[in-house]
Amino acid sequence: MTMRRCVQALVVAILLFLVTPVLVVIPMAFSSSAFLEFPPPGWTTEWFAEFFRDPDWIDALTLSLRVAGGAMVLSLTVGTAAAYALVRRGVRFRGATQGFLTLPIVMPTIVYAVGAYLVALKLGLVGSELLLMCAHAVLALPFVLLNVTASLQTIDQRLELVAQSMGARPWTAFRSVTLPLIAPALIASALIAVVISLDETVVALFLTEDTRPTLPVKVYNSIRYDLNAVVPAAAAVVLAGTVAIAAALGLVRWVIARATGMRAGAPAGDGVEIGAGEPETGGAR
Amino acid sequence: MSLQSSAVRSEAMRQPATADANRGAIGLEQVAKSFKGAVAVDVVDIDIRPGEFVTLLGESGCGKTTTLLLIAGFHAPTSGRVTLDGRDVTRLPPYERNLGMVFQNYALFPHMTVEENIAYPLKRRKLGRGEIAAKVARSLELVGLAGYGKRHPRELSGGQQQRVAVARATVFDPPALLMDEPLSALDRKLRQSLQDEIRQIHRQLGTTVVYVTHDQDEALAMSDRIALMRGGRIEQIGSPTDVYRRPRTLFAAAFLGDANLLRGRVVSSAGGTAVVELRSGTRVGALADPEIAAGREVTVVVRPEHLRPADASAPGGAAVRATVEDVTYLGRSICCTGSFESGDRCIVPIETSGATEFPRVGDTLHLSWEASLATLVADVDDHDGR
Ligand SMILES: Nc1ncnc2c1ncn2[C@@H]1O[C@H](COP(=O)(O)OP(=O)(O)OP(=O)(O)O)[C@@H](O)[C@H]1O
Ligand SMILES: [Mg+2]
Repeated sequence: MTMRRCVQALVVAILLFLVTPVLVVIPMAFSSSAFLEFPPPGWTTEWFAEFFRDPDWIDALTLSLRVAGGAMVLSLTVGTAAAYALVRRGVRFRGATQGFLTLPIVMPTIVYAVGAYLVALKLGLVGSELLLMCAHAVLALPFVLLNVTASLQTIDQRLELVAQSMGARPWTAFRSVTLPLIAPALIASALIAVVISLDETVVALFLTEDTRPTLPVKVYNSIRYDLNAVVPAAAAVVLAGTVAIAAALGLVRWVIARATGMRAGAPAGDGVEIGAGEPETGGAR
Repeated sequence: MSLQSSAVRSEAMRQPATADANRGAIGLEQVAKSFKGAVAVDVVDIDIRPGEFVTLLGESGCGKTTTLLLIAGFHAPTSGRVTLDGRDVTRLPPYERNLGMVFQNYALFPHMTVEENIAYPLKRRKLGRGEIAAKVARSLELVGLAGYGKRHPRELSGGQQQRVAVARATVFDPPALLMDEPLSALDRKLRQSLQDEIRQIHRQLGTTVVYVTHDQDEALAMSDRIALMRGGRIEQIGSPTDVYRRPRTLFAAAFLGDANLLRGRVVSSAGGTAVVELRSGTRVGALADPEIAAGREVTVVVRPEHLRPADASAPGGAAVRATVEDVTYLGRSICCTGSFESGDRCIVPIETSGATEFPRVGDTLHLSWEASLATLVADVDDHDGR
């Protein structure tokens, strides 16, 4: 076989591997059988109805959403502040600091989970929503940091200086100049943080109480202990939620890009003549 | 920040162009700045009058930008005092100094339209919408960009972007405008037309301008006064003619334009004219300097355009002989370079108009100059002049 054929085969294999689980779960969510048979003997939306009727599933879902929201806000705030300090201020041991903050990428989650559990146990904080938020924020932090750092590095430092010379206090200068310019990176980071938290299972398994699990933890417990037919529906809900959030944030990002004229690959427009009321050739392409 | 000081601040920022005699005055008193022990500005003393156009000129790394940022308040001086409008502002943060700033790379806000960029300082001053719109329109007019307000900076050429930067830095009527190499990213032709525009805006608004450049021609063309900087100090400050014609050091003489530098010793200094004996033994004249007594080793600075072909015996200075080593044709003139009998480098421009015969390599020229146009400098460059 040629090299090209090999690569093609590999791509197909990877796609199958990625897609097959999804292709199994979604039909199962609509299966009329209560015994997780594949292929499904018939179709129904009963399991979704049951999912949304059952207060336990709803509690798990809302807990997951709250934790994801909190983790997003926390990691975004801390990550942006850290990135700003690393890029703009003379931070000592810059390399070491950045390395330390991005450690969660390479650290085995199970190690982190056990450690967090032991600390939580000592402090009597097992089951604390806030603690779980913080733990998820830590897991998301590296991605926020890398994204925002890369974005800040493309922005001319003098913009804030010029803003200050025109009367803007440092915070105002940051808010009115730097923040809008890094907004696309912030949105991407927010998305990553939410997705990381929404389906994070290992740490959540350790830090939640059995009676108040997050959605993925409840999915795991259900499939292990009662082989509940709602599980594929719950998984489908997680999937749909993730896709919806991604789409929503993508839309916001596109709207911002349009509003600020920061379209990638827009013409430089050197020496353009004044066109009386000529409309911007934006987006419509 | 206390309430009181922020009230004082908005008061200061809103103040219209009143008849305050000190408005626009800038002073640096014994200002020094070092970064972790590395000296960027050694000692600078400068007193800029209201409405004056002062250029900081010097080589890369001599401390021009640092000096400008000290005035703007982005650096705190290691020692010394900074005054604005006659008040001590050494401890005042940049956003309370009310100064316009323009950078080389324009530093326009890419996410705002031209109008929004120019409105930025007005919004910080909490002006009303109508007033902002009117001022922005007037400012766009001033820089010749009426009709461009709705564009984004990206959609403008470099020259247009720099005009927007100037509009934005002047729209709030600051008493002084600080510009750091604003034109150095532009090509030569555009640079010249923008030089004229900046001068015109300066005349029209009457603001003080502190202008940084490393381009001597730009400095000579634009400034009321030039502060020539070197190694974190001001080497010489004065009007362009003053600095050009009367350099006080070898560095100043060599930095601003071409110069013939002839080494010698002062023989006598009387009646406003000094007589200097060159290394070749020839005696030449120069404007006497009361601080340079007879017997001193000196350098005589003669600008190329002040050299004349010597007639039989020119009054005030004997002819100096020079050998032509290279001839460059420049169109309107030709430029001969070579060396004087004394060994010093020689550079002579010769007008081509009317002349039919030009010097050739190897020819000997007899040159002299009006003694009052030659300047004495107490430094001597001991390297051989080539
Ligand atoms: N923030 C800083 N930290 C450390 N050193 C600095 C800093 N700013 C300037 N310097 C040093 O101070 C000296 C003067 O710098 P400055 O930027 O004022 O030079 P300049 O005259 O503006 O040069 P150029 O024409 O290249 O812009 C340089 O040696 C520079 O390396
Ligand atoms: Mg500089």
